Amino acid sequence: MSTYEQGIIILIGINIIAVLGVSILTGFTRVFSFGNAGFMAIGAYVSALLSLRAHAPFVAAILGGMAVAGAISWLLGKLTLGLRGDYFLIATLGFGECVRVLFEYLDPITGGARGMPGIPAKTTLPAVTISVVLAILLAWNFLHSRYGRNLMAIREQGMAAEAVGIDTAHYKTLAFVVSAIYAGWSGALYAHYLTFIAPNMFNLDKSAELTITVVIGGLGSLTGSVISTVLLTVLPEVLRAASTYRMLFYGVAVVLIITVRPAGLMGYREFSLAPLHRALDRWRARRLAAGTGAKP
Amino acid sequence: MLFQQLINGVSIGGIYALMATGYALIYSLLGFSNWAHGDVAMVGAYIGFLCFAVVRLPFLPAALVAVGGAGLLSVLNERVAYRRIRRNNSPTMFLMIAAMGLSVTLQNFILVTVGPKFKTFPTVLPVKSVSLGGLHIGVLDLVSLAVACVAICALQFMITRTQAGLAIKACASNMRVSALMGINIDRYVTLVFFLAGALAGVGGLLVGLKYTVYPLMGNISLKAFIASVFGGLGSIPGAIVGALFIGVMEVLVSGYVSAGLRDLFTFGLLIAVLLIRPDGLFGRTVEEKA
Amino acid sequence: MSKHPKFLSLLVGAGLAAALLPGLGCGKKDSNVIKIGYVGALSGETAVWGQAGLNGMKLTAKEINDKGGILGKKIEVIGLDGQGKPIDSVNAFKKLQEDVLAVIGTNFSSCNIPMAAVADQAGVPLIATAASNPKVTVDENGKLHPYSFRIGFIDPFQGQVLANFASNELKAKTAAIFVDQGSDYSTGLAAYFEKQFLANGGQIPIKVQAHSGDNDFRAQLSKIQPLKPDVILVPWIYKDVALIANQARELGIKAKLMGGDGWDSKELLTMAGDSLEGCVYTSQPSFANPVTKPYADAYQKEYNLAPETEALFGHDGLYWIKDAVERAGKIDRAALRDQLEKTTNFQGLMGSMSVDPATHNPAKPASIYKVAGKQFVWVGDFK
Repeated sequence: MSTYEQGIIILIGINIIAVLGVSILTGFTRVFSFGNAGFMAIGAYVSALLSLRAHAPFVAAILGGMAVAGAISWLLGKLTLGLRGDYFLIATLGFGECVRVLFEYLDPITGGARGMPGIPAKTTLPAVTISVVLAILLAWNFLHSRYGRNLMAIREQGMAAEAVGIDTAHYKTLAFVVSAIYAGWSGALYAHYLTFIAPNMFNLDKSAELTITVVIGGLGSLTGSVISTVLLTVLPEVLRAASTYRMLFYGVAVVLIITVRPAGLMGYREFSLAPLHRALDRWRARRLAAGTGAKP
Repeated sequence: MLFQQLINGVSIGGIYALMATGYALIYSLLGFSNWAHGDVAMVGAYIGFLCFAVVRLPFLPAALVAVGGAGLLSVLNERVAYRRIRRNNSPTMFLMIAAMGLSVTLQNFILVTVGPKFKTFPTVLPVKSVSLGGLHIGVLDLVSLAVACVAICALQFMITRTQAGLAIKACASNMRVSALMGINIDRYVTLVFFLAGALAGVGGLLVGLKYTVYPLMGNISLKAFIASVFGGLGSIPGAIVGALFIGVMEVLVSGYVSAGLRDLFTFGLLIAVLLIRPDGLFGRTVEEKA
Repeated sequence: MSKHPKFLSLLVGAGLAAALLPGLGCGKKDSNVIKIGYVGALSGETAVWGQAGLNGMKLTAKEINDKGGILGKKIEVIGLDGQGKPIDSVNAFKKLQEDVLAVIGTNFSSCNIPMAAVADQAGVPLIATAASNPKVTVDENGKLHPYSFRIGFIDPFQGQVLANFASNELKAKTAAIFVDQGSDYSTGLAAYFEKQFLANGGQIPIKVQAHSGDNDFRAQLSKIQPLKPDVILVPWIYKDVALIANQARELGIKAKLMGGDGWDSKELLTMAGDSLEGCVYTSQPSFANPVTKPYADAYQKEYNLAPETEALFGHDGLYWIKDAVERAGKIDRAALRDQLEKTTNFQGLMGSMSVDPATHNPAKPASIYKVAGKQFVWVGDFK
């Protein structure tokens, strides 16, 4: 496998982790946020600083990035999750932009707009693969636990959920923090792959891209999020010739999906072998019946 | 220098106000944030540019075509995307996602057809300024402030004094009951989108005249959105106040504190206001949408 | 729901990726052709430069091929879109690295800094065009990137030349500085200008900043206006310079503006020619220099467009590679690298150039251009 192909797979992995976070927040809790690129930036910069200045080992740097992202998201969530949908959206959007502005301003620490080069290239294919598998496992278990069910209850009928005693604020904060931790994880891996980060790599476009990816995959499906991430990371490379048309295609696709098939690629379903099992059962039953009938 | 900065701020705020009003109109009716609003303005600017600089129409007809074109585009957006989502009874957030998709589509459509180069209008009004005792006010700024005022007043007049305006207010208040009362919802939604688009077109044209025309110029609507949230989503006076306030505040922060932290201040202030008054300054309290 | 959906979803993901990937990397080796890559912004806001660079390279390749190619082999230019963004440029480079002898591009330091690391690892010479941050060739620990080169000068040099010109030719005693804080190019250039200008005995009464993407700079300009400096340094990209110039004149600012090679586009004249009358900027020796006329005419004829400076980079880049390969005597990446490093007095359309082996930075003059009567007029070359 060429380094180019390896690089693409690594990028897919990094994107999957960030998208999973947004999937939990938006797909499963129906909270829309445009600030996740800001948490990616926090994860990237904190982990880069830990690697460069404190000479921390790779895993420690990543965990550091994730922890700081999580802590800040907890604070932000406490302040803003009480706001209504559109207001919350603007608040997260503002947060994302503020993070970018702040990193540019704190030149002596972060290198400002010039960016931070020289980050050790520790994100290898094995590292990413382990991370992605871990991320999917954790997300799956989380969503299929009591926490996840509560999130989905809030998504479907917030007021009813409150009436049954689910502390909406608490669970929304939980989803928000989890999504920020995932974003931080992704950012840390990204920093140690590209070896160079700059504040304008984590802007509003990136946040919007994450949300769009989840929508296309299907709000409420982890598999859908994974598939759409793969598609949307690979497609620009495959369609290199038509790159000017790629974004146009993106926009049209989003409009089409949300008007015609809002469930996205996978809707609420996950990848499942059940249909295959059922098909196999039917086939076996038919074979049995045919065999019995045909027996002289 | 303070007065000069205030003048700068008001002239920027005036343009934000034009955009924010259109935003607030749509929000008050359908309860969602039309992310494609800025891009409708952008297309309006391009239409104006094409008519004026390429086809060589005289300025006023070109401007009218641009404003009308923007209005029609807005209506088209509604027909193609938003109406279907409303019919499907999908959650309101889907409207916003559709708007995002439309925004990306419009931006890239222009990028692909006209190209990424920045376009400047041939001079319509001279790049001169009127000097009043050491203060400099651009001629174009005076005109654009005047146009913004006229446009917004015209809108306000229409909403408060005409039958159509009454119908729009009814729809905004409660769409279902209005429909039961025999008001043709679709027609008024179309009208509102046309008006909002036209306002956006005026805004886009003014921005294009003052600065340049380029595919990403629709991003100015983000400021308009913030102004609208600040003033209370759905309230037109709130949007105007918010816009002027933000315009002035931006200039003052850039001038007196640091341009680097300008956006930080804007958003920080926004979050602070939202914590104290979660519905914005003049916002109405409406139940959380599903 | 199936029992092991997570693994399955991962499999699906990996499977999809693997299935699609064979379509991505090609690599038929045709040994009679030398492939040279180009990475630049072929789409997006700065496409006007990237496209010019690629067009220039292709035109030059034809010219060289008509004269026999390099060591008897024909050149094939492969251009990929980096969109002016770091990750896309790195991906484009990685896609090229298997097949090409060398890569020319990009004009953005933010892209070339990560690309340089990849070039070192892959052993493929990378020649930056206008990227002017010193870290493109020498990393921040002072270590040289062996495979990273550049044709253009660096920001410290530009800033210095501008400061000297301001002090000596324009006789300016005071200078205001207006930077784009979102741009390493802008802040870097300004820092070196400041150093030199102060060393020349000048004074800097005020420094202001804004962010590209803004349209309105009057807040900052209003701060400069009352101080009435002799010159104002505006090291931005041409689109912003036009806005700044127009707004400055609107506010009654009469000072001369100065800038770097970000000014260098004909669009600047269309957008703000009047406001910039008498203003100057540094750039690579470029099209105002009469020696470039035949090339400019050929470019105009082939593409029906006026060429941008980036096209000259494409031209000189290819000829430089040809020169180095011929000195090496064979078509080999490592040998090419060595010869690029040892270049002395290579004569291109952009002037003569010698490479400093310690930093890979070329010693070449900068040209200063003045805006006069809605045209760029070449003032002179300065060291």
